[in-house]
Amino acid sequence: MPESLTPEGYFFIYAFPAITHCAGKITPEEFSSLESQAVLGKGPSLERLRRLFPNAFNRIEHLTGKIEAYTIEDYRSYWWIEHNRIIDHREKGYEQVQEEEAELCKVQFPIVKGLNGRVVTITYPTGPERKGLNYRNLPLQPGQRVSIHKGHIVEMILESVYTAYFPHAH
Amino acid sequence: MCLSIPGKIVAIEKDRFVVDYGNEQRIAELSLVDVALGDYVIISNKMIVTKLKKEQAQQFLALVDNNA
Repeated sequence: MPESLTPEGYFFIYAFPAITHCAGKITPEEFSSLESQAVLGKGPSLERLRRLFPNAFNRIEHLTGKIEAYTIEDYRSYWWIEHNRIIDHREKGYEQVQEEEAELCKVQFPIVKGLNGRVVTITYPTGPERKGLNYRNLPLQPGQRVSIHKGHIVEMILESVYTAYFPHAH
Repeated sequence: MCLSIPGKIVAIEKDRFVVDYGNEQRIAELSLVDVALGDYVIISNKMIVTKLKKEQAQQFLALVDNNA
């Protein structure tokens, strides 16, 4: 059953794993509050998100031609396609990034292999097994496709949605 | 941008990893990879998400220094 998320909630569940890079913009108390919101799939306001993640919203504005009223599809296209494209092409600050960190920064779509509490073993079609944190306490089962960003399992992915975005993927 | 600066593990206590960044230390409470004292790692939200080879980490840190 797909989750019911607001567009900004959807943006934020992907952005939260990078929140530690908002140094100086949030206090430890604000971090705890934001973590709770991410776990629940609730996002801060668009204005707050724009202040926390200005580079992302510059790209989203450019891609959508809008400055507000973004949809989940707008944000999904950013995280799944544009964000990964920027990293793959080593653009906009990623010029010197090495392969390991690039792969970590990209949003990826592995399959759950095993569960040990909140630590999840995941597999990639062409890569080794890795571990990820089920930071949102999703009801995962082996065989479930998920998205992962910086070691954080972000959401459960329907195969139909995945293949619509990546028709040539395994 | 979601790049992280590598840090070096300088202490491992029970379920706690002390990671040194030169000008500050941070605590990680979980690691997704096997780590040991002296390893260079990347932390996201109090969690070690990956380990870097020493040469890679030092190369990255040199880049950061040069661009500081």
